[in-house]
Amino acid sequence: MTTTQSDNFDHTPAADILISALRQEINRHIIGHQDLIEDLIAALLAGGHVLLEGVPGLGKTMLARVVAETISLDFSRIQCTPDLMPADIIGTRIVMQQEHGARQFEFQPGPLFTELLLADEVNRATPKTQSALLEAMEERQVTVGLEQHKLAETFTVFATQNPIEMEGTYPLPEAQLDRFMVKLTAQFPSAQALATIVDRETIGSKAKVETILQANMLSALRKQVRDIALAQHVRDYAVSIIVATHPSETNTVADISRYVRHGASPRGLLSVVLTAKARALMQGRANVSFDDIDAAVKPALRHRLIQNFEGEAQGLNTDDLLESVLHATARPSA
Amino acid sequence: MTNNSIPHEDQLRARLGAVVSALHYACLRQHAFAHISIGVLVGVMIAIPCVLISRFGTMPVPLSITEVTLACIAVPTGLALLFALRRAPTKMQVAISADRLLNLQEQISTAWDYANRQPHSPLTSTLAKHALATRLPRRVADVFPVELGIVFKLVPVAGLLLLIAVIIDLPAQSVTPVPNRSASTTHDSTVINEGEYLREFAHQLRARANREALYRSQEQARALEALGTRMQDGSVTRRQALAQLRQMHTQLEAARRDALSQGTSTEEVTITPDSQQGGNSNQSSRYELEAMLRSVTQGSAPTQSTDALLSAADAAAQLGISEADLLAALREHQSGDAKALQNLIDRAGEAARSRDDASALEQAQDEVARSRSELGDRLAQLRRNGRTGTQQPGAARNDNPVDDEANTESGDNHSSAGRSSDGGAGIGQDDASGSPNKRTNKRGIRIATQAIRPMPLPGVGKVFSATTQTLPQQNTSAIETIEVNPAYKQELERIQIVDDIPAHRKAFVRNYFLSLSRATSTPRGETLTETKR
Repeated sequence: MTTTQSDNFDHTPAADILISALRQEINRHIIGHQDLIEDLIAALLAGGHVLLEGVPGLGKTMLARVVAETISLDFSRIQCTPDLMPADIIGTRIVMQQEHGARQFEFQPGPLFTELLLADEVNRATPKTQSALLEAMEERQVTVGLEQHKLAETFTVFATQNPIEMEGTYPLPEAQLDRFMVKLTAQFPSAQALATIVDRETIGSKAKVETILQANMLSALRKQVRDIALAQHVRDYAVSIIVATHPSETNTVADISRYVRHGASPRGLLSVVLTAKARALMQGRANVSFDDIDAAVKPALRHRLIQNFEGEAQGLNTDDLLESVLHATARPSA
Repeated sequence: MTNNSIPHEDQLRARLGAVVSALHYACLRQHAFAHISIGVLVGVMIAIPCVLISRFGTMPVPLSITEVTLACIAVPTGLALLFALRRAPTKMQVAISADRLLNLQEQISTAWDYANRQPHSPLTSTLAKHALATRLPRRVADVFPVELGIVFKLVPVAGLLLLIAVIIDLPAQSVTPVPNRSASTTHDSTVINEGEYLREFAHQLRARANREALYRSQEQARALEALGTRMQDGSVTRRQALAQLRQMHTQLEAARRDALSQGTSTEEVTITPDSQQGGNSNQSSRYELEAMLRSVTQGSAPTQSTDALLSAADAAAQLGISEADLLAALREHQSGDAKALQNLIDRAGEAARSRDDASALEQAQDEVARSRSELGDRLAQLRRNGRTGTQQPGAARNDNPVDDEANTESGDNHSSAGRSSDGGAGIGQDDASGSPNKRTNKRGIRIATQAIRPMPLPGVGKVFSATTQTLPQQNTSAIETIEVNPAYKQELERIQIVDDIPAHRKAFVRNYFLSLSRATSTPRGETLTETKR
């Protein structure tokens, strides 16, 4: 059955309802991370991989697990360590004995062959393992020997990392960071949220996570995201933001030219637009607005701005730099 | 199933187009109104100084105040309108603005963008449907209302200032065109001198006019004084001064003619051949008039009064009152009715005043003509040369101040020296004062125009100066310095330091020794002998 654009948009209210239900179910289990959940759903609908950063114990792993259960996705988890080898996540060829006694090599898929992969503490894996993960994230396929193995259509990586415990870690290179559509930061919950967490997690048994979406429904929603209309002036606004993150531009912000070594890549622009489209769909609109772009900028670009030595020395937050970019970039009005 | 409830795609696009068009029209209206308000405000602000300059200064172009005001307002307004048209927003810009104003999350602008780029796409219809379902107001034009901003509110204030500038109670000056705008505006000493002279003359003329209630002269003297002041200030070039002097001359001529028409309307009647030749009929009435006057004043007035009345009768005759009328009025007066005689007297007084007015104006004309001649007006020079050819040397300018009484008493001399020739010389004078009898009657009594000449003014003509240097004299002190002779010095100081001696005694002793010292310090350095001491 072929689906036209208008058919897709006729389902926009249903998509809105589905997404609302998904949001509600996740919020029922994850306390105090509303903004994080919004960004996570948007990235999920946009079909991107998510890098979750936060100190231990904030519920990152639980969030990934709940999301996987609400969407009824196959879920795998890898606890990244320095001795984790690529074959441990991709899989390997092993000798299998047939019924008639013959032996041959067969590919035994690793945890990568799933729909939702949680790579916990990804920066503790060696660069070799990280590179193996990189190919899988970008091309949604793995190569073992001479054979290429396709991953699931809805293959999504949720990677987490700890920002404070850097001993014995291998920070992700810029190339691999760029593969993540968004980088989300888990903030410490408020006191009220903490109280709710205590009440919910320490009394009785845990509530069961209900499945809201099926994997094929997620694929349909991802198609709808790509059909969201993007007007030229909104597109130009997104482009001007990306251009403004580059220190070599003459009209850029003073902070950018002073503290940033490299700006956002074209892939970053795609991430911004796709995330903005997903946000539009989440709000039941058929078009991207300036507000959608603004909301998508920080999650999509905060890991793509490479600070120079001065910026690193001053401990600047890329969110502040992006905020200044948003302030300086005028929305097209005439 | 849902197609029946959803409008057709073309209808959706048409409705979207109508909404955007209505928004565009409202935005254009708001845009134009804002620019026109600015244009009008700027125009009014420009018009205020231009009107003031037009009224009290010299405009480079000959425009009336109304024309100046309209031009000053119309030009900026037109420019503002052109600017507004040039910067008129497109429909896409209007859609973006509407999205921003109504917080529609770019739904209208996106729908309009897709309607232009992909008019037949199903997505366009969907976007149009979403856009039309947004929170658009019932009257789309209300999205861009005509705003009465601060600029619009300032327009009445500026208009009030303009009105004040138009009606402010100061004498409006006529706008004088400047033929050559590139003419040098450097100070011209001749213009300044002439301006100073004219201003002084006009000042005196105005004083006389105020004193004698010569209302035409009052008005013209004021204008002439203003012109003289401008010339003296150096604010007008020579060409501008000449143009304004010509205009002043024309005004003076018109005023003088008006005065003459009122004061000498019967001049032709009085200056008839009969009256000049002393015909028999008039001669008999004159004898009768003299007899009547003598009888009227008999016993109550001395003979000199009767002579004065006869002179007044002559003057009345010159003023258009026939002796017959005078005789009839005297008879009525003798019979007890004084009204007719009073009317005659009033009439004669009014006519005399008008003639004085005309005379003063004529003199002002002469001064203006002289200034024109000094400033190089060839026509005025020709006329002036024609006049001076008939004048006696040194009689071109009568420097007597304006003083009627003095002129009346010594009028004969002036009449013979200055004004007798003036009578037939001034511009426009030939027809009105062609005969010397106009000025003097048979008895030699001067009856009408007196010469008005200002006081001689410094600065007219060339100024010569000389600088001399002298060697200073050898300086000597005004206070005599006396050196005390050493022979007396010790004794003098001894006395001065003694406290018991009173001060006046000390002074006495000091003077004594000083006088001795003065005597000893001779120029030759001789010292006094013991004997002298």
